[in-house]
Amino acid sequence: MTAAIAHTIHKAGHSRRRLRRALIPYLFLAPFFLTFLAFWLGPIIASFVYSFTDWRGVLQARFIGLANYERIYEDPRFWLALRNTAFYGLVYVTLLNTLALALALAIDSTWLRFRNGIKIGFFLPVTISLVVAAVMFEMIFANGVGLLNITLKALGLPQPDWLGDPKVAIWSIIILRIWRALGYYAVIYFAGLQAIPSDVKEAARLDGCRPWQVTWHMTLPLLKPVILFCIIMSTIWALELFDEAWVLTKGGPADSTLTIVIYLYQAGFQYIELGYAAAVSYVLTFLIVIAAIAQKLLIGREQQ
Amino acid sequence: MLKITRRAVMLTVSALTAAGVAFSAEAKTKITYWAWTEHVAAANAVKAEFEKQNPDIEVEISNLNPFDLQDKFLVAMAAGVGGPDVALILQRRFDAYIATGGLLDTTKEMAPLKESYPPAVWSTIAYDGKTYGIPYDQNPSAFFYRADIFEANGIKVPLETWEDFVAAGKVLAQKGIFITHVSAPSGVPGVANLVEYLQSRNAEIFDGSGKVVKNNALARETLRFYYDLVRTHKIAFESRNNAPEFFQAVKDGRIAGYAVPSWAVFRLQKEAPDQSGKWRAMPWPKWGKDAPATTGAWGGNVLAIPKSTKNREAALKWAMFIGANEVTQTRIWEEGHLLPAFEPALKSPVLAKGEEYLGGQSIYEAALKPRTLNNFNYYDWGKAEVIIGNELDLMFGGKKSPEQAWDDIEKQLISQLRR
Repeated sequence: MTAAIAHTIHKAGHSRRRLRRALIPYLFLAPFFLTFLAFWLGPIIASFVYSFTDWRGVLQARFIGLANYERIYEDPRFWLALRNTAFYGLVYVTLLNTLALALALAIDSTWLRFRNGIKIGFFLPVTISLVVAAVMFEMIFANGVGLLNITLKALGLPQPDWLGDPKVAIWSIIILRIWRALGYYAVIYFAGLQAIPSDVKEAARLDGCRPWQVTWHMTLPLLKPVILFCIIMSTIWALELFDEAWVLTKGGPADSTLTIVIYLYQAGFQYIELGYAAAVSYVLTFLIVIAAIAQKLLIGREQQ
Repeated sequence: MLKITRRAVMLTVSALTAAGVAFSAEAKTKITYWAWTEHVAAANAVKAEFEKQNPDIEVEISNLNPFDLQDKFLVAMAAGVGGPDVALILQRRFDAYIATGGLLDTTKEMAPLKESYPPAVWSTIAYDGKTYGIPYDQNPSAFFYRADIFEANGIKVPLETWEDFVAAGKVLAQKGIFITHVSAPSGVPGVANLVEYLQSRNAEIFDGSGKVVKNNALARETLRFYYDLVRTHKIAFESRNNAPEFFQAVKDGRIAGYAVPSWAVFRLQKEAPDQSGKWRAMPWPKWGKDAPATTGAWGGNVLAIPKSTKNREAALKWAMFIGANEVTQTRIWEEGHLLPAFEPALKSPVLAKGEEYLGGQSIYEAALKPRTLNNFNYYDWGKAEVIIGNELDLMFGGKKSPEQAWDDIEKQLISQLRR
């Protein structure tokens, strides 16, 4: 009897110790989860609730059901913002990833000289603040007197109003954005290339493959996880385009560079319709999730 | 050895509590003020005097970009914490902040001062029989011109009417010189440029009750005039607001005029210092020989106090000190050439002081004093600016005539703002 009690006590003590040991990691993780709850999950839930209200910031919010979502559906400016964002996203993601991959392949090759200098040169724009970049590009794009138009004039080419022509303005944003992001993505691709075992490529070469065949049939297929990552990340960034377009054109001229996030910002901070802005943010989140899943399915399936 | 008795502990605690009470009684009330560049300079210039007059209040002044400031102020109002006690808000955006219900009612403090502000300025803080905030500055428009170029081309000044203005512009255009600048493509920043013309002609977009003025012939005509300056007469240099190409044209002497408020002098001084003494100011032209001598504005600023401030009295004292005080209001003219909203300050000799850049001329005496600022009703201006800016872009982009553009502006304002 005494031995049984002693065994039970010993077992209970052992369980407590085990429980304590199991809980300790969670204790260390608690600060992160508490912060996540307060500054991420809390606002995410709160903004979802606000998206069904007419909240303007201070006075009591009034529940208005799906009215904000209906308004989004009926507003032609939202659809224009969506079209602009989709066009921008498609061009930006394609050009950026093509150029970044080409740059990474060039840096990874043996024929290129001054590789470190080139790496630094392309990565430098990533470190430059947007304000400085915007001032620089405003001077580059300036109509008639900007560096770009002076160069085009010297070459005898047409000189568009880069920021003032509705047909051209979105391209100015794309140029600035690619200039800023190219180095960052090239570094990611370069890291991916470095991770490919050199003996695989060497074996292909020994089998008589030409350099372009090695790249096309060996390097690129092995790089697919990195390509997928870069495409998904750049798409998310593209859908969230705001800073460059806002600083250079404020969404104009004639809404030609209006993006979903500028539309959201205007609703929230210029019109002070925070309930409506919350609804727009949920639509944007939904679009980002759809785009990421679609890309994962398309590229991921092929990879498998 | 020191013996700690219960009595000693009690005495120590009492002494510390008393010291704490005494300290808190002497502690200053700290208030924060958010503004930008020239307004920060003006506030810093009078801060010491305010703190001398109010030794129990300490003012902390923060310099923020004006648009960041508006955003942060809104977030702080919504959160109820983290905001300033007083903030400077763009006048044309102020109605949206009133609508949030987060601003302090200043009716009691401001009612006795109603006669000290021009009606056009007072109307921006008045809402439903109450007042919110304190007017700070007005930005009435003048016309700055290159006296040397005008003289060389035989143009007599002042240009009394817009008809005279266009005639002079045509003379200069023959030499490849523009008489003024128009913000095109417009976007939101360019709308303020058009408002100068609309306001000076009393072409209100909204009536006093906030309804859109329908079939607004005066506004339509004004837009046609604005368009013709650029496209028909080809006498206005067109570029985005503050674009590098505009300043380059000023430096090259291809622009001989600038129809804007008085802050332009600082901008011209900075961009074209070698043109010092060549520029002059004249009053905003009239809309006909017998038309009233009026002008428009590029929107002024208003001092806002959030309801959530924990320092209501101190915040009010500071806001009144910088918004309703002759000496302080004069400083905002000195620091940024922003015309005081508080009318007693307009009598200050400081405003009559000559500018070296303008060949010793006083902007106020020469260009602003001879004109009265018309009223202009701003309602839901955040949305209205986007609608008008887009239509201006379509008009200057050749997609619409000015008349079509104005009709579409009216339609959209009515349908989207439900006014």
